[in-house]
Amino acid sequence: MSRIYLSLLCALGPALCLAEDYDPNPNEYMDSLFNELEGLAGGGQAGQLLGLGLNLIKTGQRVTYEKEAVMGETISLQAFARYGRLSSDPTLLQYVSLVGNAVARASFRPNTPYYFAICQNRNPNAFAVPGGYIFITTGLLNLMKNEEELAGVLGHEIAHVALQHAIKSIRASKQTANVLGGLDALLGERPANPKQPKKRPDYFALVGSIAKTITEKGFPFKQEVQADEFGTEFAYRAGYRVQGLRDFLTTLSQMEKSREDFALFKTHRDHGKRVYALDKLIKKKGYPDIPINPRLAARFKANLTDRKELKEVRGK
Amino acid sequence: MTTEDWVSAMKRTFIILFACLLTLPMTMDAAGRRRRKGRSKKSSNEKYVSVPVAQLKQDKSMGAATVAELKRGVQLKVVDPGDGRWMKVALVKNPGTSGWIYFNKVVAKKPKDIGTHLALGGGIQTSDLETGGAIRGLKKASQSYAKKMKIKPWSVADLHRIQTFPLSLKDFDKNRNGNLDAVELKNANEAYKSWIEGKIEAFLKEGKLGEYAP
Repeated sequence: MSRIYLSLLCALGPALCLAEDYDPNPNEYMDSLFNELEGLAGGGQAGQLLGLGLNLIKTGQRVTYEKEAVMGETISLQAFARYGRLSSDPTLLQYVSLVGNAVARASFRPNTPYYFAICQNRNPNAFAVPGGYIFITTGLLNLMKNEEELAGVLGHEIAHVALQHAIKSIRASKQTANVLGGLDALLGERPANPKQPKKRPDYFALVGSIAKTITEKGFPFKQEVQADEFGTEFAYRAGYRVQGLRDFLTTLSQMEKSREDFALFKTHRDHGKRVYALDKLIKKKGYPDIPINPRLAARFKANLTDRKELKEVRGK
Repeated sequence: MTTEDWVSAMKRTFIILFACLLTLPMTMDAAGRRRRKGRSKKSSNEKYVSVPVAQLKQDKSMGAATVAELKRGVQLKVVDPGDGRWMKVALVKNPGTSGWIYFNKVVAKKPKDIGTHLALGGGIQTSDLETGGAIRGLKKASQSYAKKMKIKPWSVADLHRIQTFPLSLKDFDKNRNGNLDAVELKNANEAYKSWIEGKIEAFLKEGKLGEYAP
């Protein structure tokens, strides 16, 4: 009998140790997470992050900011061609850029330059391109109800850039060697892999397919949830209520069935699951309640809702 | 002891060993977590300024007197974690200087700078300064791409616009009432960064966000 107790003790002991380890303080938790991520974001090293178990960028050829910036510019040129012209409204552009930069400054990669492009397109969509380029359509802006939702969505996209999800996707694809080898050739760098064939791949020929993946297919569900979590944290650190992104995803979730004509819903039909995941996160981290800020409502209306380009989207 | 007793005892020992073996990875994981937690607690006392300029306040409010203006990368030691929003810190290099700082102005690890790119809407690069302070445009590789792939000129123009808009050098220059002299041009990058930071701060202040919240 005593041996059975001993067995039970052996089995329960580690479980008790784990329970003791649980740290409910969200600030300390984020501190340790930021600490690990800051090291990873710049260098592209291997890493396994605390309890989240997130595999980040695998070891391999380092993607410098120079390469990331060239990828960003070339893919952005394709993105404009696909999603239409940049907004001609300076007030709207400045407003979105200021909200985005306020959130980006509170991220764990605040020194990367972030550029915010609003495309005149009634189809709702937003995506992040390497190098800090963030695209959002007037169609998506039109669905937003307040500045907190905008901050949450931009936070989500900033998280994709900061976590280098696009680069991770390229690394995970069969194109890795071609894209990185092509970039080396383009920038006049020596090939990282000496076994690489003498004829180096043409990076230019690959930009179109990378752009298509980023702008249309999006990222795997796990990365979307990860970007939701970090985006919410960035927006909170900037001073916004944490409900912004969660509320906006709820709106999209409700629209999924009624607006099948939107291209976004052809590839993203899991907003309900993301809301559920965010609800769990918000509850777990115990974010303090920030009262609704009436100043933001007036600012959002004047700089976004009432702008001509947004009214045109509603009119169609 | 009969053979049956021996077999039974062996079985029990095997079950105990098997249970221990099963839980070993969990125990090791818990030990690892404790080690990481220890490191995290140690490092959570050390912070670095993450924004170009952060104000160190005499009290937990933006209305309080400013003790010092701290530049990005300045190392701090947390004296009092406060309420989670404001924390009391002392300068590591000058422990006599202490005050309150808002939590989103600091990070746990020293921030790295990426080249001379600016935080908002393009700006000036060191190479640009040497050639007369031109606004940053597309990289040479991207220009070649646009040419080779026959990208429409408006796409190039729009991309260039988000790199330099809405807070471009032109606006900055206008804001400074005219031309930048040679000395100003030399320091333009830093001045431009501060100017943009000011814009973001004014935006946060207007919306009563973060440390400006009542």
